[in-house]
Amino acid sequence: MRTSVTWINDYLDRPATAEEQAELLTAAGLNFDGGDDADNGERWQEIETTSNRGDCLSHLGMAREICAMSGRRLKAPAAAPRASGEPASRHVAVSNDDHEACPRYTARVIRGVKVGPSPEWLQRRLRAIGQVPRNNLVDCTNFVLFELGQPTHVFDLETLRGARIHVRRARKGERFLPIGEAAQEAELAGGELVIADGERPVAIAGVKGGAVTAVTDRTVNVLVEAATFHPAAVRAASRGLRIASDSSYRFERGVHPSEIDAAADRLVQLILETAGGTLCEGTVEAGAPLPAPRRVAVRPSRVRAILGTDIPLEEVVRALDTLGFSPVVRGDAIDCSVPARRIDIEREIDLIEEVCRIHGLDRIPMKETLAVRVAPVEPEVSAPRAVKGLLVGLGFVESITHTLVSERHAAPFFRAGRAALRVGDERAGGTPVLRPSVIPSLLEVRRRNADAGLAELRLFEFASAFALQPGGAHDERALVTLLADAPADPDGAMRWMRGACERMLRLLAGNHASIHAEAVPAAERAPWYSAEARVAVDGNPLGGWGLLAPPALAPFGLAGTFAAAELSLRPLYANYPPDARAEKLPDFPGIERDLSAILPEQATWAEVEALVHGLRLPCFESLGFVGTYRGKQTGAGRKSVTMRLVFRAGDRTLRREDADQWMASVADALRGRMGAEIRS
Amino acid sequence: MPADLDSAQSEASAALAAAGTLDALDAWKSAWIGGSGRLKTIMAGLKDVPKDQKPAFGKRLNELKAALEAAYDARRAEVEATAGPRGPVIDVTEPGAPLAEGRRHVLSRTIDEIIDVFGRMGFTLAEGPEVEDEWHNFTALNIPESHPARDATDNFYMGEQGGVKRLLRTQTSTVQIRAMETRPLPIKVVATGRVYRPDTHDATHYSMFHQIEGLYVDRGVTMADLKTTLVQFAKAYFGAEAEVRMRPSFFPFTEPSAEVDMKMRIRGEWKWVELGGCGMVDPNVLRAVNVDPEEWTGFAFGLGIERIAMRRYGISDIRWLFENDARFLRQF
Repeated sequence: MRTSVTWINDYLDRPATAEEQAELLTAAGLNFDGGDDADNGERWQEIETTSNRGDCLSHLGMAREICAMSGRRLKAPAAAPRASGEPASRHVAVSNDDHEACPRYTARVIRGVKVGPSPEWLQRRLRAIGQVPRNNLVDCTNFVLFELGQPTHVFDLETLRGARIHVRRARKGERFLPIGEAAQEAELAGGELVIADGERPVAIAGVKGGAVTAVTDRTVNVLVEAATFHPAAVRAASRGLRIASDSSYRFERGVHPSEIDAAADRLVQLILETAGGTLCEGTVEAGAPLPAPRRVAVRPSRVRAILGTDIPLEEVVRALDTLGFSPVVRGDAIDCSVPARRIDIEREIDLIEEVCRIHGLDRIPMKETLAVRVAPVEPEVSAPRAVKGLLVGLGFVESITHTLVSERHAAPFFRAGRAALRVGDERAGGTPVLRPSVIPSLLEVRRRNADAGLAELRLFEFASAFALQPGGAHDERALVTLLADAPADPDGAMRWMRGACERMLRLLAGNHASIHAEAVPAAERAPWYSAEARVAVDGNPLGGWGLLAPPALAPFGLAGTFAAAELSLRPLYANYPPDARAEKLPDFPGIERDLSAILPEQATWAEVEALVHGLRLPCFESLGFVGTYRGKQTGAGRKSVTMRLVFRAGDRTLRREDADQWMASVADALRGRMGAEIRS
Repeated sequence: MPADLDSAQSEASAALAAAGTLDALDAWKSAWIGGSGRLKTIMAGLKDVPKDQKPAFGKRLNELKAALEAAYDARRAEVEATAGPRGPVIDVTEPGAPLAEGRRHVLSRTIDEIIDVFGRMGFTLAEGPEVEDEWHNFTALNIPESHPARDATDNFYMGEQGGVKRLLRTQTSTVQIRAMETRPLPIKVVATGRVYRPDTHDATHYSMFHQIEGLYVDRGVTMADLKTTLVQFAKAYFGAEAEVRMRPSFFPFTEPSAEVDMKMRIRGEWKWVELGGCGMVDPNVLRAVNVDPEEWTGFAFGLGIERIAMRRYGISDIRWLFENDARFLRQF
């Protein structure tokens, strides 16, 4: 709220400088957020109020806090306007349909006012906080709003049809033209809390007055409204109609029904002073009975338990007294009666916070040391960190991209049976979909970097992917997603990505885990892949990798070979770090033998592997993949696969002849069972 | 005979002093101390020395050998220091090879660093989903049905599931609730991750950002513990001169509540930066998860990761963090 330094000083027994005000209010929890000189040379300061302190949205409220923080005394304005006219009830009737949404509505009547400019002092106060003076009636309501924090409204009494005020819910289709130069007539949805006259809505309750019943230069008789509305009712209407005002802002933070009389008195007195007229006898009102004053007790022992410091009882009592809580010590508690304006104070803890505020957070003591229970580092921290370190070592750059993506980017990345999980489109602009995969986001990053001239890039991101299941429940899968420029030949590209994935899986699962990768059949393949492999560790499927199909790359303007992987690493965290056992290194050298087999194109390395392992050759140590070659010599539909076998004995150095014999069995088996032609 | 040794020594020393190149040194070495050098010849003569003189001669011979070897090493070092390179000529000013260079994202590294500091203070990690329900995001956090924080304009709501309205979490405080629902007391956890609030993207606003949240519930936890924890963190993370300032504030899920400012070094100067909020866990929040607030008290805090990283590294536009331009990411 914009405050005038001089205006606040009107209510202090000792004036405070702008700096003092800023400092005291900030210490009270009302944050200073800049200031300047207004057009008329008066200093203004922006003071932020938290949503629980509606009572501070006024100059008097701010002054009250300054008094509490500095020991100054408050000079509150008092008003007791004299009524001399006939009873107000003779001029207007008030009915109220909804005591919950409108706990109290009061109307007073002033007859014979003369509309004109406000006096200089009043205009100066308003200008200092950036308000434009209009006429004495409007200016007085504004003044009361910013002085006491109570929104009020003045109707031209003669424009109210049926001489009545009816607080009710709007009917669907009713029309309403708000006050304001650029205002447009609104059609009400129905259900908004409105102030109506005998026929039509004349104000949206707590939000905006109507143009038709507003005061004009010719207004003579007025109805002064002072009321309170439930925050939710005001907020609903304000949001629904997209009309926000100082009044709605204030009501949304809560106004106590017993606070409104003082505001009405003050407004009436100011109108009588500045516009003349006669106040009719009495207040016409409708609403629920006033709630009983609140009493809350606070135990000093509890103050100590929460704040961790021993504040002397006298100081606690003094702090509460300063704030107007009339504290009385009874036994081991302090009884307080809560001023009506402090609707935020309901519980003991609320009073403890008040004591803390006044005592000062800077006076809460600090301990020299903290007691610590040493906890082991959880794998949820260490495992992903190890994987990230590995990926960085492999040349991957970590990316963080938005979870929400556009329909266009999301569309190609749904698995069969999954649909888009979307947020309200209006909020998300063009990106309403919780991404079903992080791959499109990484492609977008790749494109951006390509535009910036980067020829090669490897990316990874730890993030979740989302989708709707057929029943309406949703998936939230925590994944690591990789995207890399890969070697141009597809076999090489797949092997490259498999290498990266296996490194991660080994790191987490250990050297003894079984990592099994297999091709995903074309019919089950993810639509964005042209080749796809899936992987399981010790039988648990954890995702897979593949080569991105051209249609998936096209929307990003990317061409070339890109490999991607999506792995769910979380199931492996629980056993991280894996058990590692030292194994003795061999005493004797091994023998390495290479062998090339020309095989039909559909033959797989997995088959070769199974075959060689199945031979159970003596002294067999390992089978390694060397390369695949396709060319003139292999002939169409065939490929040459080169493998490397290692033999080793634990008790001697093997002789060449030993290996010759075993290699011959391998060649025989490949020829006989896989139709291989062996090149030596 | 000893006289022969003396003359041999002076001859060898003179020749060594004259050897100015590595080649000349090699020649000297084989001529004098090598396998078939002069010293070997002299040693061979030992058998002709009269028996009574043998010990003295032998001793003298060993001294000579040691002296020549030491002189050779010293001279070689001297010559090497001044001689030109051996082997191929290499231009060492040629640039290093452009090796593929991976890099952690500055935000995730910042999160790791902060988790480590709190880890040293005994906080463990707690986690929760990003798609939340209203109970965890609002109700259990003492944010009532009619509270403006629940407005559609301030949240990314999505469709209902089984009568439960889903939304992207707006704060990591949701994990406080999940931790208290599932873990035994006392609880001392940090939670970190992405949170979402609708916002028009500009240099200081982005509709997704990261928070780190701390929660400590035990018997006898006080505001003084909270302050001590935050100060210890600031000093451990930003340096011994770092300070913490708390200003009264309001959050539905803590009371008393405070804003947290920390004094951190920004390009050599110590400046106050608003980093987040904190407070004592509101009794209503404890009750929501069936914890008796008379027996247990707790504190909670939440810090903004982007703000810490941006101020620390002089990142003036939050969008740079999410564009992932490798040239930008490799600056950190």
